[in-house]
Amino acid sequence: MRIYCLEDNPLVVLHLEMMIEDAGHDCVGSAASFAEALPQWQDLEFDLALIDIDLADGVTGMDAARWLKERGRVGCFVTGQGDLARENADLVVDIVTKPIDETALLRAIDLAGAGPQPPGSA
Amino acid sequence: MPLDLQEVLIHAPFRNDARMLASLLETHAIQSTVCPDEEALAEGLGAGLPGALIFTQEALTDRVRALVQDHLARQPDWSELTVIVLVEKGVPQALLLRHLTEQWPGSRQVFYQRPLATLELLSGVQSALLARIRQRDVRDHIALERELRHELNHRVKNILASVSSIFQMTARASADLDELKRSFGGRLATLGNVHSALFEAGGEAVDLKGLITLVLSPYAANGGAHFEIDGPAVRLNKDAAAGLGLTVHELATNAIKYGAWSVPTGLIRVEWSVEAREFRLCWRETGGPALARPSRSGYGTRYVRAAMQNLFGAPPEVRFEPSGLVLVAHGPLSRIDAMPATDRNASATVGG
Repeated sequence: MRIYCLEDNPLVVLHLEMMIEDAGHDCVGSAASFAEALPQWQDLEFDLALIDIDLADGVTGMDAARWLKERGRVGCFVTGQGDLARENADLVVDIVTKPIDETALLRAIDLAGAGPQPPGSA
Repeated sequence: MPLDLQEVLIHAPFRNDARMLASLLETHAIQSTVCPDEEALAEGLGAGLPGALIFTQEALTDRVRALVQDHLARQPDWSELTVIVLVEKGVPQALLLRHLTEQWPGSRQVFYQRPLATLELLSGVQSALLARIRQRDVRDHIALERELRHELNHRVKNILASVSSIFQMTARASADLDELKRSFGGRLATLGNVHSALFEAGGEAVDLKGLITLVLSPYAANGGAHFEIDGPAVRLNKDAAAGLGLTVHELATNAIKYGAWSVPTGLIRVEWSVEAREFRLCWRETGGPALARPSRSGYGTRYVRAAMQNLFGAPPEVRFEPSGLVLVAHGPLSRIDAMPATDRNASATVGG
């Protein structure tokens, strides 16, 4: 799977990348703010975006998740803001709270992989 | 905020009472609003927190008392409203006083006999408004404390997330427990040093030269490793301080293992420049063994790439020259300097 990381802490980005690659998936990009991610998201294809809620441009993670959902794309909150994430659970396929548990992250990736497939893909 | 704790509401619907009270207050520069009927009073009490209330005794109908009771129940914890009641001379007041005390908790009631001694009333209103100013200070302190607690919670969570990620990644890359202890300890100590530097700088801005010196100087103690640093004053925001501090730590660790600092003659030069608000950092190792590009990048290299990507929006340029490793990272100064966000927006539109 192709996975994007929207996260403002570079250590967490790196940790996510390592876990994603170890599980046999690809990390196709990362950004520290929704404003920075948005122009990339217009053209970039990915199967899942891991989204922190509190980003470099403020509490914009919900906006990012909503933007993806409105376009039929898939996001997952990876955040220390558990309460905000649960209040907006309808925007994402799963919620992983920090500090990140690898099992929880892999479950979220599996959930995203099992989500609605585009027509024609077997 | 409507009313904002300084406007006096007057409800004295009979004769000329209200107009006279309002003009008396006005001549002493006290802002007031007359509520001619109970509807206007309800609206006034709903619009915010008044500085004080003035009633005539005969205006205190059941509905008016209930409106005040309701307002007092809704006011914030820090608020204590002064209610001034103008009573008729000769009418027994003990019962009214007891009723109002019971019905209006969270208020201070003051009674003045008519005919009014205007000086007495004025000083009563003024002391009520002064009390409101003190209450407003309490309100602002509470808000500030809440904001600070929120920010502290956010920072602690962020640091824990960093430490957790560092630990997981260090554990993954360590061959044994000794290596894990050494590597994790070094990274944690750097994080701690950056935090101390931020704290000493008042929490917001860290000088780049000071930061690099802080991270590198332990290695140079007792005539150990050699380094030179040179560049203009740059004040880093907290994220940039953490990212650059840890980056320098990883580069130094790498230099000790494989690079310039693996031999006594090796030298590390760290230089940076700012031109047209573009920041450029160069880490150059010389005098060490010839380096080949490693076949697989370890944690340190990957961290440096991720941190530079995060700080500058672009990965760094890494060259393995015959003389040693060279790393160049650059990007807009606005992404790393400690200017407040509002100023940054302003300078962006003004052409900075």
